[in-house]
Amino acid sequence: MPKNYLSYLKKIYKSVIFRRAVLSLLSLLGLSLIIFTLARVMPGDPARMALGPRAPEEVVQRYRELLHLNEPLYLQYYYWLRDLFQGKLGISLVSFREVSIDIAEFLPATLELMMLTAIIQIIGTIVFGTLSGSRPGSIIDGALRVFAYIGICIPAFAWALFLQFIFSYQLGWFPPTERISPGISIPRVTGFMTIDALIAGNFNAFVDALWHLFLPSLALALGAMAQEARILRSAMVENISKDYVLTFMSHGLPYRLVYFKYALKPSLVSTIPVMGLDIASLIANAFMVEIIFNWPGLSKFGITAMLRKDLNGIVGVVLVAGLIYTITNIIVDVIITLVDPRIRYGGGGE
Amino acid sequence: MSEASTLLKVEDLYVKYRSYWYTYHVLDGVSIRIKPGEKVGLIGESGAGKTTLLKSILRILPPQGRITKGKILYKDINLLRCSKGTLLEIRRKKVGMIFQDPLAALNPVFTIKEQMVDILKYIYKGSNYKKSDLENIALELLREVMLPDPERVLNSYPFQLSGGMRQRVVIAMALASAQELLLADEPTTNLDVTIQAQILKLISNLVEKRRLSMVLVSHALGMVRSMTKRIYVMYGGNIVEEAPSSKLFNEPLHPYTQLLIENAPKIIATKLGEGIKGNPPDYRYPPPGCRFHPRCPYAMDICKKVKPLLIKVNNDRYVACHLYAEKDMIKKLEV
Ligand SMILES: Nc1ncnc2c1ncn2[C@@H]1O[C@H](COP(=O)(O)OP(=O)(O)OP(=O)(O)O)[C@@H](O)[C@H]1O
Ligand SMILES: [Mg+2]
Repeated sequence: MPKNYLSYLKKIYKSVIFRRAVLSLLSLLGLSLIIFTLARVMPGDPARMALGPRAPEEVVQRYRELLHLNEPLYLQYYYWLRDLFQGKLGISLVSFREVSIDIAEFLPATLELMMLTAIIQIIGTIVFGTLSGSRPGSIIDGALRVFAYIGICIPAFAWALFLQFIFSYQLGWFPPTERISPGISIPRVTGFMTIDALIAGNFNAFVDALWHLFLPSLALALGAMAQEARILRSAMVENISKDYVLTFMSHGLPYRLVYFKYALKPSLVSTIPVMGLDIASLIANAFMVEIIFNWPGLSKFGITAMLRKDLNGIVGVVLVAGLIYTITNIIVDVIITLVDPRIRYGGGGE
Repeated sequence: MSEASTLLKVEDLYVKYRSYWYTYHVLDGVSIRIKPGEKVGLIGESGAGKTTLLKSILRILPPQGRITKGKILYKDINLLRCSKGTLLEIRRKKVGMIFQDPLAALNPVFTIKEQMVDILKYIYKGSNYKKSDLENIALELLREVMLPDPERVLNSYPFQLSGGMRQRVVIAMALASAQELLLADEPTTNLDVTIQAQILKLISNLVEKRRLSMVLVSHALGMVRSMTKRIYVMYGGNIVEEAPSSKLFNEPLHPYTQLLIENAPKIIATKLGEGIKGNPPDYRYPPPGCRFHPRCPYAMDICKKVKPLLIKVNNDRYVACHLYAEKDMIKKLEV
């Protein structure tokens, strides 16, 4: 029995995903050190900024001591780490609350945005990539090519401004800002507006929240989607001439099944890592779009933290972003393993 | 030979591949025919267009490939004109194809079970089989191709099986669809020499047992000779000779066939045509006249100008070569 247990542990240790997780944790630690130092060597006096110009010097001085600002950097980092292991990120100099509490308030809005963006991005990529890749040279293929060039050139914040101008201010089909219409209030449980609406059993609020989510998600999804659909397309074009797809044609399977199953899945193997990277980067890329749509997400907290030199706030935001990025990447690794059995069973290269 | 006794007839088929810059004129007026129950061989060096011909028959050329001219008649159905439903029906239940490379013919990201059940689902469409029934049919097929432990094979991914096992799976799948005609495209490339003979023997037995017609492409000339009654020789996208198998080997007529048989490898692992001087034609700019003339030891003036047609030289032998044209015919053509 103990022997079994040991071999099981060995297996975990050997698994790629476990190693990547450990490696990611280490790099997060490194990231914390860098951002911690950077935040402190930037010019400006955080204690003075927090308390305002009219606060008496001795109060400010006491505040500095409280934050260990007078001590050497390595000691400061040591104190910060000690707190971190107790689950504390330190007190925000802006809100005077624990940073983790602040972040917990703003993060769900960003995560919700990321999720809808990911859904739009994945569905769009698969539909456009497969349709155009299975018929290279067709009208749909040409249209995707044009769309892809435009999509790649235009950054997400420009899409955001454009979509907001057309669909909110001109046509009025979608709300221009915020997460939910004024007047609708639902009790906060998870912080995800859509989920909370469902929990409250308020279907109208659910639709309203989705309505608010749509434009910013679309703005974030478009560029990445265009690029990924092109990548999927070229993988498809290559795969549809392969014997392992033609086999199914030769047996008289319907074309749609052949393309959307037997050509798509092998093609996804090369597309998923790119999709995953794009989705993971959303945590940082969403900043500008959140501002344009006045989205009360991580950007709102992060930007105030930077402008006000909220030391713990800055480090907290960067670390949480890093953590989300890491977790997303690990999830993507798991998905790749599920799609490609050759990786799952560790080897079997042709 | 009357229409009724022909199972498959390809007439004057032209196939081109298009890439961004070039057009490859591969099949150049190919005609073949197969009678019910007949087994014919198709030989020629690498790049002759054998796979292209077989894929054209099932209309599964890659998107770059186009059939530009010709007729493909399956019984009385013109496969180039028929409805999509008819074509699918023929692919499902009449004609099966064994692909050239066993390592490449199975989808790497699905289990054998998933792939076979999907195929069988459409072959037995409308007969109300449940998934478990289809799995049993799949097991039965795997047993028929002598796979040990078919349950394990069914639950495996292709990369978990050896080359020989994979090729048996491919044969089992082809058998499911080949209820009348089997197109076997070099069923033994990329396999160990010892396994090659086994696999060919297996195919031979199965075809016999099920009374199938077959087109066999192979570099193993000895096996082709013993497994088929008639052989087509292909060079550069043309059929250059057609003869009963034994006669072809005893007395090859076309200069290319002569070289091919002379240089045939003693062991079956290597490719045909390796010893022949020169290169296969460049399909972007195929040589005018006879496509073989740049490599032909007997090339004459006319060979560079006029394409020789497949003509009957005696009761069951056909050859496309000016050496065998009647002398006055050549005169007429040269005028
Ligand atoms: N998709 C394609 N695009 C361009 N040329 C192609 C394509 N597929 C095949 N060809 C060319 O067509 C010619 C005939 O190929 P084919 O595969 O039919 O030959 P083959 O007789 O089966 O040869 P082998 O014995 O090597 O299998 C080759 O010169 C090949 O390069
Ligand atoms: Mg071939």
